[in-house]
Amino acid sequence: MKLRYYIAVRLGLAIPTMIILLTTVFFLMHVLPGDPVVIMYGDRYPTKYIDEIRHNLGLDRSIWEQYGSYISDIAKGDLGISFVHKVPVVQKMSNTYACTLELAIVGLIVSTLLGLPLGIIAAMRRDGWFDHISRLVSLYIHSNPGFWVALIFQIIFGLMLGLFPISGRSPPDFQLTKVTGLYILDSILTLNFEAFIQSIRYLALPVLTIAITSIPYLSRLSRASMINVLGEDYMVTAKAKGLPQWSITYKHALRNALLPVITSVGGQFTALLGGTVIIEKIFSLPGLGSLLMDSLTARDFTMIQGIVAIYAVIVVVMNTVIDIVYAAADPRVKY
Amino acid sequence: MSVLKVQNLKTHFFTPFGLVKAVDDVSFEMKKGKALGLAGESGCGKTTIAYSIMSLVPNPGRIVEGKILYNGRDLVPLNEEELRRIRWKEISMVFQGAMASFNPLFKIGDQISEAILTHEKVNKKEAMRRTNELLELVGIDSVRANNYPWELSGGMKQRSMIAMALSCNPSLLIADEPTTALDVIVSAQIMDLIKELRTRLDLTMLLITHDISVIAQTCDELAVMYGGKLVEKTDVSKIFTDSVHPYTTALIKAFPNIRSPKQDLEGIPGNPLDLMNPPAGCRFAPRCPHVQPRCMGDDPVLTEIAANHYVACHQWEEIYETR
Amino acid sequence: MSYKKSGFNFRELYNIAPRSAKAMFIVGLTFSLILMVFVVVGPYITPQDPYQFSENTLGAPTSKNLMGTDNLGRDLLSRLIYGARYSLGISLVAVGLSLVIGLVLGSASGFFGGNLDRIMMLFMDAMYIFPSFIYMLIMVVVLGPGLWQTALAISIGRIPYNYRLIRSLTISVKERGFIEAERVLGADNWYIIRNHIMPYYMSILFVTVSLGMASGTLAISGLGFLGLGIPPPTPEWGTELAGGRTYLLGGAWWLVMFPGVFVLIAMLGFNLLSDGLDIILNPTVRRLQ
Repeated sequence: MKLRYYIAVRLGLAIPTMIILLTTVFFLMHVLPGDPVVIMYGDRYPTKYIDEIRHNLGLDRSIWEQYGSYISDIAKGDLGISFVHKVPVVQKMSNTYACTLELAIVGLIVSTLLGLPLGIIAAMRRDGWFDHISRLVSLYIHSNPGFWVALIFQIIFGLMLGLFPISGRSPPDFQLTKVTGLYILDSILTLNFEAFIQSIRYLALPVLTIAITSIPYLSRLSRASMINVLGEDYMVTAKAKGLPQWSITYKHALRNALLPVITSVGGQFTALLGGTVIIEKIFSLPGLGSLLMDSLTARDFTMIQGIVAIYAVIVVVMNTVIDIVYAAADPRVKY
Repeated sequence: MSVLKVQNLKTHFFTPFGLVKAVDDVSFEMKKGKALGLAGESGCGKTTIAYSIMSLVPNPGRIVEGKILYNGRDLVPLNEEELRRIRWKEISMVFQGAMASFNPLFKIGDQISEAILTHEKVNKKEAMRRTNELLELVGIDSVRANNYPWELSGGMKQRSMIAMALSCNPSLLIADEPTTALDVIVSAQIMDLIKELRTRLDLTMLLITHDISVIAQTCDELAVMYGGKLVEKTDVSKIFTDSVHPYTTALIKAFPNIRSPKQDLEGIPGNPLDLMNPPAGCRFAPRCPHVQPRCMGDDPVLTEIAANHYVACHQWEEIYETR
Repeated sequence: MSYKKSGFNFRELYNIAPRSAKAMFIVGLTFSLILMVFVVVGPYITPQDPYQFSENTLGAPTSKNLMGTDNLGRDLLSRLIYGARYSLGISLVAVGLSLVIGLVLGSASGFFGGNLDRIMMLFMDAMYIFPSFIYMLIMVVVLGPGLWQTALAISIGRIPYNYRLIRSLTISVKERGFIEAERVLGADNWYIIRNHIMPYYMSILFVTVSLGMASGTLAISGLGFLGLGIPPPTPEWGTELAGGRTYLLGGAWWLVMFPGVFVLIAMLGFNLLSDGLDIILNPTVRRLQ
C-alpha cells in the first residue's frame, strides 16, 4: 500500500473510533448509580418539575433510545439545544473550540521544542552533571501542580513584573479577521503584526504553564529513547565506518530515537487537553474548558454532552494525524 | 611486510564490579596478504582485540598499554579525527551478527554508499555504481540496494556487511565471528565467499571465531587465546599435527575427525575463567592435564619454540618430547 | 559458587542500586510516610482545631499560626494537615479501586484472549485516548458531590492505564518459556505464581501504585480547585487554594502558597518514591555500554 492509501484507511478508521469513544462515555455517564436528574437538578427545582425536566431532556426514554438518538444526532452534526442558553450547542461552541485548540497546540509545540533537546543532550552526556541536574530539576518541576504554577506565574510575571497579561485571550481593542479561529495563525495569514504580538503576549503565561507540566515527561522520554538507540549495534557500525560525528548523532541516532517520541506526543496532547480546563479557568480564556465548567455548574446537560463530543473529535483527529506521521517516518510500518 | 603489529596490548574494563583484564599483554604480527585466525572461547578477549585495533572499545574499557602499529604507525595515541580517517578506509570490520549492525531506517545501498562518500572523493552516482558492483561481488542482486535491512535474510545481511566492509578497499579486514548467527549451510557459503574474496583481492585478514575448523579452511596462521592471553600461534598447516599448548590440543580434540574411527568426545574439564579474578600463574592451569606446581605460580611467557611457532606454556618441552 | 534463593529479595536489590536511586527512594518514602501519617491520625495531631473560627482573620504566619489563618480565622496549617485525609486518602481509595478493577479486567483479557480481549481493548483504547481529567470532571458532577463518588470518579480515569499494564504483564508472563519449563520440572501452579509471577508483578505494581497516588492526588486537588468533588468547608488542598485566591490581591499570599506546597510535597514524595523504586527493582547493566 502506498502512504496515500494508509492515510485514507486511517481517516476512515477514525469514525468508528469516535463512535466507540462516544459510546463508552455515554454509557459511563448513564449506567452510574443514582438518578442523574435528581442529582443534578434536585436541589434547584421542586420535585414536581423533576419529571418534566426528565422528559425534556429525553432521559425518561429507554437507554437504547437515548443512545440511538445521541449517535444519530451527532452524525447529523446536531448537538442539541443548550438547556441553559436556549441556542444550538454548535453555535455556542464555534467561538470557543479554537481557543482551546490553539492553547493545546502551541503548548505542545513549545514543550516539544524545549523538552526533546533537553532529554537528548542528557542522554548524550549520560551520567554527567547535566544529566543528573536536569533529571532532578525535571522531577521537581513535574511535581508542581499545574494550577499552582499558573497562579505563581500570574503573581510573578503578571502582577509583580507586569510583563504579561494575566487573563483573557486578547486586549479590549483587538482587531483581527478570523480565518481559522487560531489567533496566531490568523494574524500571520492576514499579515496583522499588531495582532500577532498581542496574541502571543496573552498566550504566553498559559503556554508557559502547560510547558512546565509537559516538558519533564517529554525530556525523560527522549532521554530514554536516545540512550536506547545509542546502545544499538548499528551505532557501533556507524562509528567504525569513520563517519563524522554530526552524521552519527543526527543522521543515525536521532532519527531512530525520535520515533517512539512521536507516538507519545499523542498521549501528551491528550493529557494537555485535560489540563486546559484548569488553565482556562485561571487565565479566563474563553475556551471549551471554561464552557464545560460553566455548563457543569449550570447543569446544562445537552451542552455537556456536546462538549464531550467535540473533545472526542479533537482527540481522535489528533491521534490519527500522529499515526499517519509515524507511518510516514518509520519505514518498518507495513501498510 | 608487516601490515599490523600488535605489541604488548593491554585493554582493560573498569567496571563497577571490578577490573576486567580482557586483553592482557597480547602481541602478534600480520603480514601483507596473509590471513590470521584468532580462536578461543567466548569471553577470552578476541573481540576486544578487534575493537582495540579499530579503537572502538566501549566504555568502561580502555587501552591501557601497548602499541598497535599499522604500517609502522602507532594507532593508540591518535586523536579522534585521525582515527576517523583510518577507520574503514584502511581497516574495516565485519561485525558479529550483522542482524542489528545496519540502521533500520536507511536502505542497504545508501548505507554502503555512505561509507564510500565519506572516505573517497566521488559523487553520488559513482558511489551508487560502486555499491552495486560490490553487492554483485558478494553475490547479491544489485536491485537489493533499495531494500531495507529488515527486508533481507540473515545470509544476505552478512554478505551486505562484507560488501560494505570492502567498499573503501581497506588494507586490513577484520571479520568478527562472521558466521556465528547463521545456519550451517549459509555459514559455509559465507566462508566460501570470504575465501574467494581473499584470493581475488589479496586481502590481509584477521578472522575471529571460536570455530577452529573454519580457521583451518581459510587462514594461513592460527593464534589461540585463553583468558585474555595469547597461548599459541603457528601456521595452520602445523596446528593439527604439532599443537603444543594443552588448550589448543583440547580444542582440536573437541572436533571429531570425520574420517577416523569412532572416538569419545573429550571436553575440557573445569569452569571458564573469571576474568575479574584470574589465577596467579598460568590461566589455564586449573583445567590443564599437564599442570605442575610451577604453573600455578608463574605466568608463562610466549616463546618461539620453532619456526613461526610460539607457545606460552611452562611444560612445552615435556609435551613436545612426548609427542 | 553458591546460589542465593531466587525471587524477590529487596534487600539485595537495594544494596546494588546506585546512590542516587537510594536517595530518591528514601526521601520519597519519608515524604509519603509522613503524609500517610497525616491521613491516618491527622485530626489528632493538628496544632489547632481546623474548624475553629477566630477573630484573627487573614493573619500572616506567626509562631502560633505557622501558616497563617484564613478569612474565617482558622489556622491554615491545621486545616492542611487535616485535609490530607481528603486529598490523599481519597486518592488511595481510588488507586486501590482502579488497581483491583484493572487487575481483574486486565488479567482476564490477557489470559483468555480472543473476542473478550478484543472487545475490551477496543473500549479501553477509546477511553485511553480521551483526556482522563475531563472524564473525572463529568463523573464527579453526574455522580454528585461526596467522598465515595469522588473516589469512584478518579478511579475510572485510571482504569484504562492499569488495565493495559496488567494485560501486557499477563501476556508476557503467559508467553514466557520459563513457565513451561517450570511445569516440566514439576512445579505446581502455586509455586510458579509465588516465586516467579508475583515477584515480577510486584515490582511493577509498587511503582504503579506510587505513580497512581501522585496522579490521583493531583486530580483530586485539581477538582477541588475547580470547586468540584468535595464540598466546602472540607479543607481539601485544592479547595483551600481556590478559596485563598480571592484574598490574594489583599496580600494574603500564604493562603495560596501553603496549600500548593502541600500538594508539591505529596507529588515529590510519590514521584521520588516511584522513580527510586523503579531503578532499584530493575537493575540493568547500565553503565557497561
